[in-house]
Amino acid sequence: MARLKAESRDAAILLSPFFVFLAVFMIYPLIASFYFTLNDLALSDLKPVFIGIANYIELFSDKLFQQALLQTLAYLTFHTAVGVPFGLAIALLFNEEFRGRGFARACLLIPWATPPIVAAMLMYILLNAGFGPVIYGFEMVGLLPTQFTIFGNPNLALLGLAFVSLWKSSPLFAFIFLSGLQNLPSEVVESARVYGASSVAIFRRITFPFLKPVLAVNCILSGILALSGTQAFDIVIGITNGGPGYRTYMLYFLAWNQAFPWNRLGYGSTIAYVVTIIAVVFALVLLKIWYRRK
Amino acid sequence: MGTVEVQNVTKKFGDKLAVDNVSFEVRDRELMCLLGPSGAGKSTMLRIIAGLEPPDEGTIRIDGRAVNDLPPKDRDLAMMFQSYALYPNKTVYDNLAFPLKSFKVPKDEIKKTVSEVANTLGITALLRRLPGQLSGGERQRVAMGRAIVRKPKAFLLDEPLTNLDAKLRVNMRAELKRLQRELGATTIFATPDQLEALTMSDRIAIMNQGTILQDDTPDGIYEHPKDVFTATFVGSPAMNILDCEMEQKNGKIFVRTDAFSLDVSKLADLIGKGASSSEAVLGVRPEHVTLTRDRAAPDSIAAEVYVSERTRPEQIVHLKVGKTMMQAIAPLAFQCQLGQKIWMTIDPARIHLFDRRTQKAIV
Amino acid sequence: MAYRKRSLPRQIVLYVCVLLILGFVLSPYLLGVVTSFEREAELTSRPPFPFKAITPVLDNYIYILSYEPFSLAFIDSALVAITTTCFVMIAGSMGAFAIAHLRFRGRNFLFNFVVVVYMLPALAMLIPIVVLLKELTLLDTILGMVFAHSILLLPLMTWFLIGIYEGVPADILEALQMDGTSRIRSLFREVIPLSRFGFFLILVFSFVTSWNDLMFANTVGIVSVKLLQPRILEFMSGARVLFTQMAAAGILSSLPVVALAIVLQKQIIAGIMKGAIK
Repeated sequence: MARLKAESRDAAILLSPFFVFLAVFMIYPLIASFYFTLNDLALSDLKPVFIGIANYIELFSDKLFQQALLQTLAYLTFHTAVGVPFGLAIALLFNEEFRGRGFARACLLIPWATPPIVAAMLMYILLNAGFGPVIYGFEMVGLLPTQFTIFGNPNLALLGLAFVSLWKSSPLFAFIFLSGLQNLPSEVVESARVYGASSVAIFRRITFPFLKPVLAVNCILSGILALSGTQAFDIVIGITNGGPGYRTYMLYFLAWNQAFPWNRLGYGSTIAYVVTIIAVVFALVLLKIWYRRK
Repeated sequence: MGTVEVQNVTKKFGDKLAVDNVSFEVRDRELMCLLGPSGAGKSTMLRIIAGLEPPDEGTIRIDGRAVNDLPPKDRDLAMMFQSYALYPNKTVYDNLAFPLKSFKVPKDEIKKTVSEVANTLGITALLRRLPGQLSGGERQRVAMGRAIVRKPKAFLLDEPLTNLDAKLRVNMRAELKRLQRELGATTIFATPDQLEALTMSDRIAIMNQGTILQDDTPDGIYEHPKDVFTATFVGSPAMNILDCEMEQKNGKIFVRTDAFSLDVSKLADLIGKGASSSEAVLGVRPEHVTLTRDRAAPDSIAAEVYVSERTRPEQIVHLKVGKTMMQAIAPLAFQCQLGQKIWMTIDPARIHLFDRRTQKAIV
Repeated sequence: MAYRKRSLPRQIVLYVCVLLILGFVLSPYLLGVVTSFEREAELTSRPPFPFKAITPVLDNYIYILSYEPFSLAFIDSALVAITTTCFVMIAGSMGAFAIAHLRFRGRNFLFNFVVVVYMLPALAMLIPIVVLLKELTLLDTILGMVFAHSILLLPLMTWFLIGIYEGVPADILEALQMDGTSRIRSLFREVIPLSRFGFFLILVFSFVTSWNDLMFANTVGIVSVKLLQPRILEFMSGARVLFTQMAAAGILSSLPVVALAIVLQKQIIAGIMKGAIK
């Protein structure tokens, strides 16, 4: 009996800095953030005024919220539906043998490691209407009209941001897919080839089913990144700051915007929680799909 | 070296009773074996003695002193794991030196001890290598070295030979026994291999489903098994087991299987003491079944050869006797072919009788 | 795979695709580097770079490196990132090891709790953290920044570390118990070296996340503490810094993290090689 106690005591010593930090700085935010959604709170005076679910009610009738919601969903869909398959394609490609493969794979981590703000900046320079080569190149060839701009165009700005996100995320997805592919035993593929299976068939029957769990992970990751990750915030604030005319406002950005520049911490928290709920729902839906297919 | 006592130890994992009120004693310098199939509870028992698992009930004593409250490192025991558990990023030298370092032994003494041990085990050439670069046999010896280096009160070996290939296993059996004798080391080792137990141990405790069925010398277990499980587990090829009835006829006692009857009147008083019913189980070891071409004695039994395994230096003959199969050991020279009708004789003095209900020995 | 001979046209297609992808991945940097060596006048005049030759200059880098707000921010970011990483790795390791290998009451609850906390988006955590820091008058201080980042990172890192430590074979830990090390010492002396590959991965992840962070840095640090990424944001929204100088700043800011990523990738490849041989 004393042995069990000794083990618990050991564990306690081991955990104590963790516990203290956990208690003070994690449980508190967890509970407080929810509490704030029920309050009106400004950072300047820190006196919460209890207003019940008024924040939530306000949310539902807020036109900007609705617009941001739609834009967020569009962004999320694009990010996942385009980004993940693209990542898979890159992974399959980089799984082949070629000279410089190690270098190519090393490059995959660079977009992930890049500070999002810097990524935003670099992409801005690249895609800039004024001095970016890409648009100029297209204009020269005649594919695009002069005075064409991506981020200044209300209809294209969100797409432009999505593209930047894609740059940042797809290589990461590819990297994760590659790691998954490493675990695929090569004998399975080799024996299939011996049997005369074509590459397409091998992919459909062997590789893809094997990668399904990894695919699920990447999709969920994509959801989290698009909704509340650096793609959702840093890129937006760096390039368009929500513009032009609120067309690139997304929920996460809106939440921050309400909380800090507008100094409405309660309202901001509320929106943040809505984002959480969407993320959880997204993940659950995804998992349901996969587990039913099984 | 020291003595180890296990008193009434019980251990449960959830609903499963892994060790059920087990008690035994290992004397100084003795090599005690916990023999049993997988899941019998032998490894768990070792780990409880080592201190890696706390028992739910019972006491462990080392040299008379109760050690239940002591952590593993303070019990002065050394354990050798089935997987060897060598530290993969330390050299062989560091692996051997590590236990001594933890106990703050001075550096030059460490050096001395490690080279002694390495010498004894023949691994001095390997001292600079990493475990990943060693073969199975080499790793096993390093694991042993790590245990020996501490000169503990007792050694606990968890299936030390299981992961070796067959030939190496035979060699190491002898080596291990030799080493134990030389060091005078009190040792408890667990194994599912009955041959290891019979050849190496001073005493065997045979375990099944968490309890000790018999605690005896190898001879005792082999010649006087207390129940059917022990009788069939120990000995290769296994003892022949047949259901039978005991009857009295004309003042004589017979043991009747569906194929033959055996006069066991000579054992009458022993049977009288042990038997509770007439339903019994007859056991006879293949080496006690004699085969002859023709009927050798009045109570010889007819049998048909099913197949013969010529194991060289002898042969194991599988026989069909009535509806049952039996095995007998015969010299190589004995000619027999598939389907051949031959005679077998069983010496009544060498049979074992077990009560069918309790599975315990009568004779 | 190794023995398949690829026909020439397929080879060409393969290499072309690889080059296209590499181009996609690296083009922002390539252009960024070029821009950082351009003169502002050349940048703003059309046609842009690939369509005209430019003469490289170092002016931008000289300006940025001597621009105090930038270099200060660089150093501060490094300080915060290193401190946070150290704290998170140590505290997280202790917690993760205990959860992975020791048995004690409330273990499962703690594990689930760690996962739940991680699910909450950073912003939802940020708001209460900012409120708390303000109460403690730690807002706009390095210490407050370290705390904030630690809270951001600790749940996820601990969760990862639990996975890593569970990978250490239990019997080696038991051998350690038999051989005499106390649990805590065994953690730092033995377990971490055994799992050093995963440990390094998480360490890099931790540093990169802290270094790259914008939202927390921008909110917790206002006047006295301006970290690197908020500074760059400032450059982009303000007019004091030229685009070419911004490019130089961007490249410089990425250097530490990109370098770490490349080192990490090399480790991963080396790790796979070792695993393959074993």
